Amino acid sequence: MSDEGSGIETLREQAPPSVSRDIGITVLFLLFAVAFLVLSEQFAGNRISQYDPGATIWPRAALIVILVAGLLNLFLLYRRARKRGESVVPSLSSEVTTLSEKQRKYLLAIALSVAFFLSQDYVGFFVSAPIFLFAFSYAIGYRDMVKLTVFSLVTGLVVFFLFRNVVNIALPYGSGPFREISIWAANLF
Amino acid sequence: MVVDTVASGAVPLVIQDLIAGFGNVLTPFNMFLFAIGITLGMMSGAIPGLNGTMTVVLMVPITYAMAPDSGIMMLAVIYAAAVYAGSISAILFKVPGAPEAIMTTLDGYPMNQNGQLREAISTAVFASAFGGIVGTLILIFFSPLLAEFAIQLSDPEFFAVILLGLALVSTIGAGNITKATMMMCFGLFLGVFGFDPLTGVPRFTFESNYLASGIDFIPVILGVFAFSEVLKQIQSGGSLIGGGGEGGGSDLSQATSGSMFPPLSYFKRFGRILGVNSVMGTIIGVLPGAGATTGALFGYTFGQRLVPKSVREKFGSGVPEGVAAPETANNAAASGAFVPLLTLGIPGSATTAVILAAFILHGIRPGPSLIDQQGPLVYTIFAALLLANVAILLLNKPVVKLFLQVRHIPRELLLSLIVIFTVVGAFATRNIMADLWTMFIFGVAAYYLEKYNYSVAPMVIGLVLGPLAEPSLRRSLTKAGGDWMVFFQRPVSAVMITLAVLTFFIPLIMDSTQFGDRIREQFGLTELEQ
Repeated sequence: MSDEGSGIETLREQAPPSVSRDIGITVLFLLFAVAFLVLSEQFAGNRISQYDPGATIWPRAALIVILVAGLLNLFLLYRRARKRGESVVPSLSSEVTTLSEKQRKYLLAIALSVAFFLSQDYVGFFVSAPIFLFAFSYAIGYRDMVKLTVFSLVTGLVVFFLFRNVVNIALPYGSGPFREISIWAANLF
Repeated sequence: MVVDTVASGAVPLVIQDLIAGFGNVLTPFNMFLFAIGITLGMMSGAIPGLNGTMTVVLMVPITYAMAPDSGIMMLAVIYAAAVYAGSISAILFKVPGAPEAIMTTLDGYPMNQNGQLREAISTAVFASAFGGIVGTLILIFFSPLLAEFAIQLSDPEFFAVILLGLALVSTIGAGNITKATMMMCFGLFLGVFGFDPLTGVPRFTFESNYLASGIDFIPVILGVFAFSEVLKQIQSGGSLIGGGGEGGGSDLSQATSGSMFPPLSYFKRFGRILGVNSVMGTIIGVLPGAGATTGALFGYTFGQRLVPKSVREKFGSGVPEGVAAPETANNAAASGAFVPLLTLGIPGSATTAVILAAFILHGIRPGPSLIDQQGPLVYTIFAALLLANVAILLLNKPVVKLFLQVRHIPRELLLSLIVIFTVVGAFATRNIMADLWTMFIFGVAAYYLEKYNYSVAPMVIGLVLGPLAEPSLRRSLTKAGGDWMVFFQRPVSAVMITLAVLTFFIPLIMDSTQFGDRIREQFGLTELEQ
């Protein structure tokens, strides 16, 4: 199967790492640091004795170093970008390009993982794990249906019984009928 | 012959006791338990979601039916084997099987990707066994001395040691020190969520029960190392095991057909690392609360300082020194953690805290008189630890052969299997669903951060060391009446803090000033960064 071509025209293709995106990440860190520095004010003054520097000293020290290192990083990025003649302003091009096969697989992998995590409270691990293993492997390109079915069922069961029955770690049971199924399965051994 | 010499009293008492300890371990029943301990330890170390501490916890009730020396020996063997085995999955799949193997992923996995799987695994095994054996020998011969040293260390020294460790982290981001510093402080900050360790005041919890219990580092490491790698592999279409996929390197059969030792040329390269890190790792293990994970973090950064600059610049890209350094230190630290346990009754790590519970369960209270009163028990543990490290070396080939069978599994199935193990691993520690989301968020974030050279290793180190540093800092100041000079009035902490300041600021100045640019250009480092 080709990794290029057959895509969907909804999202912009990922650009290669650029200085402007690098700057964007640093700015996010700076905003994070400023926001939490402000929030830290709410527990300022909590201390076990008059000599204790208080509950804010450690988080504030970390946040202030983030601020200083972040500003320094911005300066360095700007300097390096100027040396290489790159733009530091993010491109606002609205050009819509085709998603490659790999990007489509990547987004599907993320979506299936999110669905798997969400399903734990309702469906439980015992039922959802084989389905996830099947769907995830299929989505990222495995096509031998017989092997995939056997792999998904056997792996899901082995992991469930290994953790539940051997090392006594209860993986999520889910709720309603799924919970009944999981408990029934756990009691099989 | 040996028996005669022993009987004649020509051999020091310690050796006599040790020989008696070996005799006790080598009885059929104890050998059976020893084999179980090695197997369980390796399994728990290699499978994400399980770890040595958890397995020791599970086995404590079983030891109740055994004699104390048999039961506690088995627990000690599980611990030693688990610390080693975490490196296998770290090297093969970038999934640290146990927290102690976090740093091994940094160079072990790239070595695998570069087609040097056999070299990576044999280096990890040899370094683990070397560190473990040296650590145990130090434990046997210097326990009382080290215990005295540990008693004299107080909060200022402990804080200074951690500060030095944090400063050394800047070397992980060679060429991107500002980013490494940001990431490290971000990790330190993540460690403050939850209740303040001294006052109990909730910090940044936003009335969430999950945040109140703090951000656990296991979901974070599974996310940033394992889940992000799965995403990367899907995007790049690469292969988890070098040589097994597109653009792979060497023939994988080498991994099981070669010697159990690393190539001879490697010994010249990391000889100093083995020597220094096995001693330093043991000393870190002696510090109460530090343990093998902290030992690995320090070991990696020490390793960077012990190699020539040309090698230091390549740390993180797959150099054997980067595997040997943490593996030597974490196994040495695992042995070192027994020093305060056996001599002071203070556990040096989470696992030794559980082993302390096993002692108490058997009606034994570890402390200064333990070696005198329970000599056979203590020397049985020492002998078992030594044998466990030798067994690790001998079992290397069959164990790795077993693990390498996974290369026959198609890449897509392997990736989905890794996601399942990251999910189970993230959930199993605290049985909290939100830990899955933590793993996921950090995994996706790490994927993008690493694209822009924001190394995630300093963040993990910050998250591990932060909760150890803050209480030490504040207790130091509280006891000193708020006087910051307390850190400079004690020689050990003064030296450590000075070293920390120099270690941190010199590379930072080099990285961010025109003077640094000139130096880098002179030594041809600019090309390396680009």
